[in-house]
Amino acid sequence: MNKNKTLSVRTKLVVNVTLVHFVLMSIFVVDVYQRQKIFLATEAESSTVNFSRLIAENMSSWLLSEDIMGMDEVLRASVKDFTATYAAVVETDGRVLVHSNPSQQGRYITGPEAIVLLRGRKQAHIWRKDSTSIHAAAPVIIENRHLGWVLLGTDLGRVSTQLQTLRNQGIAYTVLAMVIGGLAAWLLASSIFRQIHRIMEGVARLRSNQLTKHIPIIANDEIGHIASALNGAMDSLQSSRNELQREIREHMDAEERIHHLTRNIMMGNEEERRRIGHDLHDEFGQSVAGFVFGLHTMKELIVKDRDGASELCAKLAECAERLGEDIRRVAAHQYPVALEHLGLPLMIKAFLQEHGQQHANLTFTSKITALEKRLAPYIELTAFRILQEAMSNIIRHSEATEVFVTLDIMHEWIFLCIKDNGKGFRQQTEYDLPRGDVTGIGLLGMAERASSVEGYLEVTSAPNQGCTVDVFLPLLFVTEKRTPGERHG
Amino acid sequence: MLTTAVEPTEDESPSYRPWLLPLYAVLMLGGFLFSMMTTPDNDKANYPEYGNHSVCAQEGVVYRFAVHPLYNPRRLFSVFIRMMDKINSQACGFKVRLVASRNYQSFEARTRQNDFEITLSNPSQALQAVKHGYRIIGKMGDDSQFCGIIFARRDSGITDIADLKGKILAFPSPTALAATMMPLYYLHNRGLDIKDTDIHFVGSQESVIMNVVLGNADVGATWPMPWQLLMRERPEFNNILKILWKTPSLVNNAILVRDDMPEKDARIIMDALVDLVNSPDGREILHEFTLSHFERCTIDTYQPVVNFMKDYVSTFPKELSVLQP
Repeated sequence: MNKNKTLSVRTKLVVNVTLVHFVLMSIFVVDVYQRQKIFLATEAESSTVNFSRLIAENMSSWLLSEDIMGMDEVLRASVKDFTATYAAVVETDGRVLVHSNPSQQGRYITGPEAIVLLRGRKQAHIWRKDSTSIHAAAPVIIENRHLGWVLLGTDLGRVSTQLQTLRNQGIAYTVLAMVIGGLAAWLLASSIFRQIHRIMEGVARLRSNQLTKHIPIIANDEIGHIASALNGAMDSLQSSRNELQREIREHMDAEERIHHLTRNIMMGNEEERRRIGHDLHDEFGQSVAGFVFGLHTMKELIVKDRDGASELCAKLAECAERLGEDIRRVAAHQYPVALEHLGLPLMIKAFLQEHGQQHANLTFTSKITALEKRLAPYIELTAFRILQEAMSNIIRHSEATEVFVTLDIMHEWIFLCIKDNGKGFRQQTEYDLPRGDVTGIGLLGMAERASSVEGYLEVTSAPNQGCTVDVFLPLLFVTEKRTPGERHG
Repeated sequence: MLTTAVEPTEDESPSYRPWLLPLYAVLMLGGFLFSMMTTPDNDKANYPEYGNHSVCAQEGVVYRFAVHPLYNPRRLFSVFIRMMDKINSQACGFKVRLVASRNYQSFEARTRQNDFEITLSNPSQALQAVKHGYRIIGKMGDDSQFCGIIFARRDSGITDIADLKGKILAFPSPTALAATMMPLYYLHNRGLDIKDTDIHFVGSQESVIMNVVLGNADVGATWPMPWQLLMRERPEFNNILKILWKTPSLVNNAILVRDDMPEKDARIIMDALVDLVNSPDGREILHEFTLSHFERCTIDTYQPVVNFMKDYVSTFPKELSVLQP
């Protein structure tokens, strides 16, 4: 692996910011240095030329009068406050009249530059220049007559010192900027990575399915927002997981209920077969046996005793009627054929009336609302089957003395209420329906029946406070072609 | 463990350009080197080269023509430079260069030291120069103009010589014949005791006029040539100043050459001066000079000046009569 790649992001950030500061400050310092160098050189040249011109102006009268001492005084007074390396007044042929260094007085300026100066243009200019000094010359001119030159030399040492100071300051500022930049980058990295570190811890917890502990929000910036978003995602994940667990639990409960229901249905079927068997054996068997015996007796009596035969025939007819009545009752218990003819309201009334006759200890009260149209057959059958089951439960388990049945229309629902004043039962939750005994499908079966037609059922009960079963079924009339699946589909 | 959990794999890691650090380092080094290289060294100073001979061609013989301080050097130069050009145009084998004088003392001192080959001196100075190796070859014409002018401000209230008592009198120099000695002698002969006045020597003719204009002196004395020149240039002074008295005239300024000057060259110079009146540009020069002509003469021409100087020296104390006849 490349060595650079092993560097931490924090180190890279600090190093890069420091280097960027260095590069930018170096460019800035060098640029300022160069500009200042040019400015100082230009300023030095300009001031030297201007000062030589000024001295030349002041020197004219003295030069005209050849007053060497006067020229010397003027020269020394002029350069007193000027950082000149030398000052001189020379004649047009280059002879030095006065010089800041008296030993040069009376000599001649020589060299190629001197030739160019003495033969060249008669105006103030820089006639010599090197890296350490500037040499300006200004002509002394009166009435367009050139009388001589004022020479002035300036040492660039002061400029060099200023530049050196500027360079040192620039280097110091560069180092300072690097330190500040590096420190700022380190602080920034610390600030950023403190939050990132928390996020990484949170991600690690996420990987280990620890969704309950939030990532601390340290900074209210983009990274803080990421942490906040991660917290939200963790919350959402936790919520989804809870929902999933709940659904799994519900599915498991439902499966258990289905198993229980299936078992109850199977047992109910067996019970029903057993009951039919008993009924056939107990009621139809004896009746048919008696009826057969009666027919054999009547066969003998028809010959012997016609009156007795006639009386027996009447008894057999009653017996046949009872047999028919039993068959109808048994058949009605298997499928309420009368429901198809009477409709649900009348069927409920007939059902209650029949139970009233059969169970003298129970008082049945009803409030049945007539319907304008017939309900869909499967709605009517479902409602009636629930009523049958509820009534069966009341009779078998509730020890109730009063039963109140209501049939009504509530909005888009058929509302059936079966209420008793029995012993009731303890209800854990709204859905905690007591299972029916082994002989029936109980409240759970009733709820399943309601659910099968996209209705629902509510059971309210408490110990010694009776039980109320509210059934809500879709208000679907017979003329409507809708099926249960279409209602919500 | 945490780091391990979130550390990206080799393929997932963001690419880090490894050449950035060397680039920065190169830039850093380059910046420093550039900064160091651009620093000038100041370990030595530089001066022009000097020698004992001029790099220019020699002009040959140069005669310096010194003029006594008629005006300040710049004015004197502007007045006399065309005259020098005229002489140089006729000179053969030599050149004449004008030398101005800032004050009488320096002019006279250098004359005594024979610094000048040619001089234009006032008569008293000329008499002194003759004693120090000069000879008189000519003079300015218009002797009537060589007189003293005594003037004051118009608002000074001075009308009579008696009014000068207690006043400040400004003169150029004790050696100025027309502007100092002749006015003093004039005033003395008319009853002024100079001890009753405050005499100031202010260096030059123009300085005398300006001192009176500015009120630094009550009365000043000069002679016609600078007076006319200044009044021409500053006509407003006519409204400020008024001439009180004019002294009798003497012989005008003298042209002298040093005794070692060849007679031929001296004659050429004097011929050029005398010949000015014969050419338009020469007359223009003379007009600017407020002079009609130059003329040849000898020291004998200045005998009236010798007589005046004797009277003057006998009349005034030594500090006012520094020049001896």
